[in-house]
Parts: sequence; structure tokens; C-alpha cells
Amino acid sequence: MTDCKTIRQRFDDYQSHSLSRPDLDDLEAHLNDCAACREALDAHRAWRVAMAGLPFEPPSPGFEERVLGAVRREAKGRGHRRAFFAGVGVALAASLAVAVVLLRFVPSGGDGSEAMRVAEVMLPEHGQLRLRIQADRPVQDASLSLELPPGLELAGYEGQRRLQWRSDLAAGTNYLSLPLRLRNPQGGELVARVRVGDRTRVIRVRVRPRMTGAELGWPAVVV
Amino acid sequence: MATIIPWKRRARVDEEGFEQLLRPHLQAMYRLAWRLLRNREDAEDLVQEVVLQLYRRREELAAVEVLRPWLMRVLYHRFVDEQRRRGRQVPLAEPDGETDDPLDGVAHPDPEPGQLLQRMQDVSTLQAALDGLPEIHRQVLLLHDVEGYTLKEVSVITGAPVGTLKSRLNRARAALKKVLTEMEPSAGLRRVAE
Ligand SMILES: [Zn+2]
Repeated sequence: MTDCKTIRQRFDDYQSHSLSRPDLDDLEAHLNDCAACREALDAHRAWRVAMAGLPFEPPSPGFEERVLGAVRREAKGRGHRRAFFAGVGVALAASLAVAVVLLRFVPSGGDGSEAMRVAEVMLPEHGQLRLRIQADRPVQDASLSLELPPGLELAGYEGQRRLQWRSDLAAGTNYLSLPLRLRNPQGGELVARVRVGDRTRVIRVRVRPRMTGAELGWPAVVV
Repeated sequence: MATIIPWKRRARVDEEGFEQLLRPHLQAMYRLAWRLLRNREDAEDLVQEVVLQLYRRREELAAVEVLRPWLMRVLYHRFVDEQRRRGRQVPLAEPDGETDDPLDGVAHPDPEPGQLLQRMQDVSTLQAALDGLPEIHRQVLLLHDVEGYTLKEVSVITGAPVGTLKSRLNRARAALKKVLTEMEPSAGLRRVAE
């Protein structure tokens, strides 16, 4: 039987329903047999209830509107500072576990060629790869395909090695955000292809693991 | 076989989109700010500053999957910076050093659970006991036990590793129990003499 100390150490996880199945079974079996731990759990619950019930002074009336009103004023007054903030945005993107790769798609005549680029990015286990696709004019019905190596997955499409999208491209910058799950410590290389008619642009992105930025992929730097 | 999924261009986050993202979190942001600062005006100011700061990086905001702890992180760090600017030391670790031993304080039995809980029911006693704790203990209790963030989330918010936080939380609870047990009950708890 797991000792009482270990069991009690799991009470918080038990209450937030974040125990693994085996630990949960273990804990419940222990509680069945151990009156002292049942009592300790009751005390723990009472503690959490008392702490969570600690009152606070509510904000003054109209608080939310005041806060958001300041944002609206900021939005109006500072439009001319866009360029500056855009620059800041790029620096912050790096800290947000977002890697941006640029794929310049300039459809300039049907040469039937496949122009290839290679990029290398570092991402944490849960990172975002942002494909920036540049088009010099609107493009209808572009197709984008993605080939993923083993150990690199698109969140929500786990286990799929080939994915395909179709979309129009606006003139200028188009973004496609790919939330990636890096399961392989060696990383891997994905291939993204953008196609319009018989014109294709390809980018190979070498994704390597990055250890910083905390295990959850949150920003390591705060403004 | 290839899967076709819709491909959306990343939406520009305008003020309206920003408001939609932020509005559901404003009360929680205020609450944490108030708990840290214990003053309504200061708490409202802190939230205002943080929201304006966030507006300037709204495009990044839209990319964050789970917004709540991330927002609290920005708020918490802004709070720490402010305290430093005002010359108030906010220790980032206990002076005697922290171990990652998660069993710290766990074995510590409650001196008198009944009495302890009775004192906790009296919110002014509990608040006073919390206020009297070292800042590092007060903060982990506020974030975890009062505001209900998980240790993983507290780790996101404060930047401290989960193991360290677990040990810190146990010490903080033990410290609060000790203060509560030794404390004179507040007027609210005192029996009216008959
Ligand atoms: Zn037991």
C-alpha cells in the first residue's frame, strides 16, 4: 500500500481531477482502508473551501468599460505608431514560441518550376510555426500541402503525415498558423508546398527542439 | 490520403476582437490584482496598465491557446516590476533556500484541526494571517489556494518550476496554519460575554 505521506501529497491533484488513472485508483483504494487519510482529505477540502471563499473588494462601477474605453482611445490616438509596434511584435513573436518562415509566392508566368527554399527553426514541444506567404496580387484557389515527418504532428491532426488546404490568397501577406507538437527529440523536417495552377513554391523547414520557454510553451519574456 | 481543412488567413485583431478576447478575463485579472495589492484603486490601475500593454501585442494574444494563465503572468510580472520600482523587495525565493522536496510540510499534522478551521471561517482573521506571511508564501497561497490556479498554471504565472512551487506551497500552508493557531481570534470570533 502506498504510504500516507505520498497519498496526502496527491490531494491537490485529486481535487483538481488531474491524477493519472493508476494514481487515482491507488488513492481511492488507500482511502477505503485508511481512516486517518480520509480525515486528512476532509480537512484538506475544508481548507481549500475556506481559502477559496476569501472575499475581495469588488471593482468600482463601470470598471470594465473604463478599461476597454482606454483601449479604444489608444487605438484611435496611436494609429501612426503602428510601425513601431509592428517591430515590437516581431521580437515578441520569438518569445512566444512562434517561428515564422516566409514563403514568397509571386506568380509571375507559368514556368512550371518548383522553387525551393530551406529554413531552420527552433520550437519547444508545443510551438507554433507560422507560414507567411507573400503574394504580389490576389490568387484564387491556391493549394497548400504539408508533409510531416514522424514525431512532428499538427495539433488536432495527430498521426497524419499529409495534409492539404485550399484557399484564396490575398495580395500581400497571408498567414497560416500551424500549432505543432514535437514528439521526437531529434526534431524533423517538414515540407510545405504552395501551388497555383502549375506553379509551385516549396519550403523545407527543419524543426529542431528548443528547451527554453518553459515546458508549456509560454513566453519566457514579459513586456 | 490528404485531408482538406479550411485555411483561414490570420485575422487581424482589431479593438473589437481584442475586447472579445479580454472581456471574459477582466474580473479575474482585477481579482488577482486586488489580492496582490489589497487596494481597489491600485488594482484597477494595474489592470488598466496591463490591458494597454496587451493591446500593443494583441496579434500575439490571439495566438495564445489558453489565455487565462498567460494574462495573469503578464499581470503578475507587471506587479513585481512595480513593487521593485517602488523599492519594495519581492523575494523570488525563500531566504533560506528552497528544496524541491515535495514532502516538505506534508507530514506536519494540524495542531488542532477543529480550532484551525474555526479560525479560517472568520475571514478577517484569515486575511490578517495571510497578510502577515512572508510575501513569497502569501503569493503562492493567493494564486493556488485562493484563486485556484493549478501548480502548472502558477508556474506559468510566476516562472518558478512546479517542483519548487509544490514545496513552497507546503511550507506556506504550514506557516499559515502556525500563524492561525497562535493568533488571538479576531473580534468576529470572540464570544459575546453573557
Ligand atoms: Zn493513509
